[in-house]
Amino acid sequence: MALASVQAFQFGEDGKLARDSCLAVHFVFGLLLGVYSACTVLSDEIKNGTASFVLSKPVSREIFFLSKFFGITIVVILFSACAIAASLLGEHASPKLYSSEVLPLAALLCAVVAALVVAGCANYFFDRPFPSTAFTLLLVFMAAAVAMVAALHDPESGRRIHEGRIFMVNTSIQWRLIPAGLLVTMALITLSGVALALAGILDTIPVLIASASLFFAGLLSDYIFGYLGSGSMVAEIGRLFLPNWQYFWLADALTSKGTISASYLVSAAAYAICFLSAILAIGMLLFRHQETK
Amino acid sequence: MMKQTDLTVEVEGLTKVFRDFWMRPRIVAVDGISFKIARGEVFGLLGPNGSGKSTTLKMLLGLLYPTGGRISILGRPPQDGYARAITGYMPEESYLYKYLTARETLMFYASLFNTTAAQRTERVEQLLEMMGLQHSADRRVGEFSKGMTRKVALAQALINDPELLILDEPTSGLDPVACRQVKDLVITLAKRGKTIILASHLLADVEDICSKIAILYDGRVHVEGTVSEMLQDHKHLSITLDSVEPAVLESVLADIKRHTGRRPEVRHPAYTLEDFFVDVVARARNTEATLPAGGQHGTIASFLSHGTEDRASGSQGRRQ
Amino acid sequence: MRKILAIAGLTIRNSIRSRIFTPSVVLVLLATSAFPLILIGDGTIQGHVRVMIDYSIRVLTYSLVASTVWTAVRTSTAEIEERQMWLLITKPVTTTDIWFGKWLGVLAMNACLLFVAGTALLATVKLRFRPSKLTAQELHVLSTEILVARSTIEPDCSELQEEARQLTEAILSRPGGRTSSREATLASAQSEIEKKRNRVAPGDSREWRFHVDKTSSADRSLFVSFNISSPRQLEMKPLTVEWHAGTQQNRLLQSYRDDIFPSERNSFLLSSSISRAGKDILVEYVNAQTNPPSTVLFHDKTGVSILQNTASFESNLVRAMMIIFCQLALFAALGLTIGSLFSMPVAVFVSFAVILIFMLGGFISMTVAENNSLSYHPFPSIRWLDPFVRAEFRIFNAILAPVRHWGITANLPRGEVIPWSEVATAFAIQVVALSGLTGIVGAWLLKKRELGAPCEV
Repeated sequence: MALASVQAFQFGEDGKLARDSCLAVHFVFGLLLGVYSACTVLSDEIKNGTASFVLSKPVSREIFFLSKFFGITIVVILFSACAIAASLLGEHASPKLYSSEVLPLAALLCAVVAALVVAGCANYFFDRPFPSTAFTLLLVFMAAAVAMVAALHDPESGRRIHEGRIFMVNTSIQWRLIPAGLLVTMALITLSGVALALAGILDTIPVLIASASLFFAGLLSDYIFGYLGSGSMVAEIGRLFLPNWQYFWLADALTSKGTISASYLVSAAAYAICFLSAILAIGMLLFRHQETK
Repeated sequence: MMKQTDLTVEVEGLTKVFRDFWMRPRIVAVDGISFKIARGEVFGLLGPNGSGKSTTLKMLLGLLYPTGGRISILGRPPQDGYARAITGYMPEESYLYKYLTARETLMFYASLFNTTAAQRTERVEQLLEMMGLQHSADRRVGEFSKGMTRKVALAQALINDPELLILDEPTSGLDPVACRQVKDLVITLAKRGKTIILASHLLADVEDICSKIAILYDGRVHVEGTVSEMLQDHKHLSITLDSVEPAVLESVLADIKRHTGRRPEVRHPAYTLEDFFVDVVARARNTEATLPAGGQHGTIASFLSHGTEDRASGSQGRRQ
Repeated sequence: MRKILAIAGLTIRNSIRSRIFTPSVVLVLLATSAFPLILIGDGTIQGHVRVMIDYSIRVLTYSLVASTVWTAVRTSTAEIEERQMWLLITKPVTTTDIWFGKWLGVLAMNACLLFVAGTALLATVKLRFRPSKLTAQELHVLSTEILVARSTIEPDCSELQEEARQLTEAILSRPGGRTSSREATLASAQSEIEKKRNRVAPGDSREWRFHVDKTSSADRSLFVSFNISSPRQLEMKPLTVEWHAGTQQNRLLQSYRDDIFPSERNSFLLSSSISRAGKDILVEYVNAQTNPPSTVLFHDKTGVSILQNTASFESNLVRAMMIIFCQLALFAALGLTIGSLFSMPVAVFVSFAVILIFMLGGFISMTVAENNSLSYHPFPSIRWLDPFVRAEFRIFNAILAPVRHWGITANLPRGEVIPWSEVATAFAIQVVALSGLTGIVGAWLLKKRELGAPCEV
């Protein structure tokens, strides 16, 4: 996200490349995180035999499966919160009108460094586990950085004066990035559900490859099914089973000060929930018959 | 006084302190232990959980680096190529490649030593037969039961006919017949002049085969010495004789009472459960046609046992 | 060597049996056979084939980079975490043997995958564009301009350089002329003269001289390739072009006149008499656009060149696969080394972060080339960082320069030759030097690591 602040190309509009880059990094790394988590919490547990310990207790397979999903969802949501905060700051710091804001970039980098330093101190003095402490602090400090940058921006004046010279200033924080980030989060949760469903029956590598293939196929689904023709039965069935990730990728909608409406968010959420319900049901069915060590 | 040339392993002032990320000392796992193991000795390393046995073994193998002290294996440090070439190691858990077959596993480890292809093939086949795995040789190790993987782990430790064999819980997961075979093997190897270091919680096994033991607690050696010296109860006597007439027995007991003032206790000596089990299985094997799941155990591989008279079978070869 | 080969064999066997290799094969086949079939071009045979090959190579490269890094990381971290490394390291093998054995194993699998990929891509292209599906014209274009490997001959610019040098001397000798360095003034002068010459007004002409090796050109077709801009392209209308080609003795051996769309790169075949004639070929463009007249601008670096068929598409494809192989070898080395240091998910993320930095190589080299600095930053308080930041970028650029070789695979869809010298350079730098260095570091890290230490909870 910090790289967005050093980009010079704009694609004809201030901040567009920064927005697209931030959302793309959020999507790709969130995909890696969600899919890998699904493999670790289910596939590896089945392979290592630890799932048997839990399933030998009075815990149904369905509850076990769903609890894994909710755990992954929380991780994805927390990651996305961090990513959205970083996107807001990164986009705000990206060069516009031949100048750039130092404050948001400094706030972003300081938040990261501070989280690591404080977590290190907590580990040194209080034996707190470093990874979980650092992640929690990162969330807190990123939120604080966003709040601080928003508070320090002067919406009345269009100028900044420094050392007696007047400079052009950037616009305020692009809060409209938040709905775009929320859409990406919904896509990541859906993908994680797919990965979890597959992890119940497949090993880590096949799950990773299948999820990645599904991701790319979903991105190209409009093109693929359009290629097959509008009346094609294969296309109709394909649209039913292959999620269209383009519903969740609306970076282009933010061009020229565009926004994403609340109603679109609700309909995208409904699409995600419907698809998730189906995929989780299939996942539970597959897991029910899976042998564990 | 042991000559330097008689010593296989020499450990002096060995210390291991585990530190955290900030390099602060956290756990003193081993604290200044010293011992010497001569050629042909079977050395038992005992101690409760967390006493430092595994840490000591890992340092002997070069898997951990000592914080202090010195280790010498035939005059070389543990990481030295020669030291590794003459050492065989069987870990507590069988950390094998689950996608390789038993034969492929042994062939792979054999290829890491300076052996010819013919030697490798011969040794692998002998070890498979010795472990009773000849019928499962082409199955993947991941499909094996725990006992079968332990046998493969032991086989790979023996593939190079090592001078020094380090066994961590070697009988864990093995059935009593296989346990007996492992113990007989250890005794055979010791008679050939090989040195064996054995770490185990099964005290009966240690008592059966070890010539010398060290008991660790909290990272220190508390007791070290030969088994026979340490376990003998010099305050009492036991006399073994064949069954006699009750009248003769009564006369002997009365005589002893007259001299000592106390009538001694009389009871029949008992076989151990292990002896009894092995006997039953041996008799059943002779009458039944089918093989058990783990296969029939063969004789000790010739490349391991050549130069000795002993051949392990049944209850023979146990340490007295 | 036996030990390294044994470990390599083990790596290959484990990867195949643990079902890492098979999904990679499927991915490769999808990238080179299924994916290209759903692509459509710009309506022309050239556009279609070029898009198909270009996208397939890109998807293949990215897929293989991801799977190579994953496999390499997994190979080392899995053995350390599952402790198979204990049984390996206690044998008389060095960590160098272990590292290079695993690396060779990954390379062997990559070589197989690239062989499958190259074969599948070639088969897909041949099948998709088989003669029965094309017109005679399309078939001719395919065989002479697209599925070929052509080297580029740039025009002679000695005259231009001499003119620029004279202009530079004139500028520098003027009073107050020494405001910039000699090199900067020369570069600026050269650029100005080139721009002026590349602008051809209506009715004017412009000539280029090419030095061609007679012996190599005798049996090979030569094409004049040109890239121009014109106001006509804004109106989406064709532009009339007129070319004369010849030698020093006879400047008018061939004339070519056509209506073309200026936004595309165009070319025409030189007659065989010119190809066989001599060392120097003269090519003249005459601005024949009259209705309405239009100034034509030749692009600075890619304005005019002569393309010479030097090799077949198949051999060019082999070289492209070898370039990708060299790149994958470096990423495998990185993955193995990072896997020696970190545990599984961390190692994968660190590896991909390193790859991301590699991909920023173009931005970093551009920043260095344009000599960007913080001198003009609105906040002078941070300008003192300028020398450090510029030095840092230069160091990054130097490190990443050898890795940028893989950009040369873009020559394949353009029908431009990938020279063997590039393959040899990529092999020497990426496989031997960089991977070797990475291997030494990786083996050292593995040796330093206490493999028997308890896992952190």
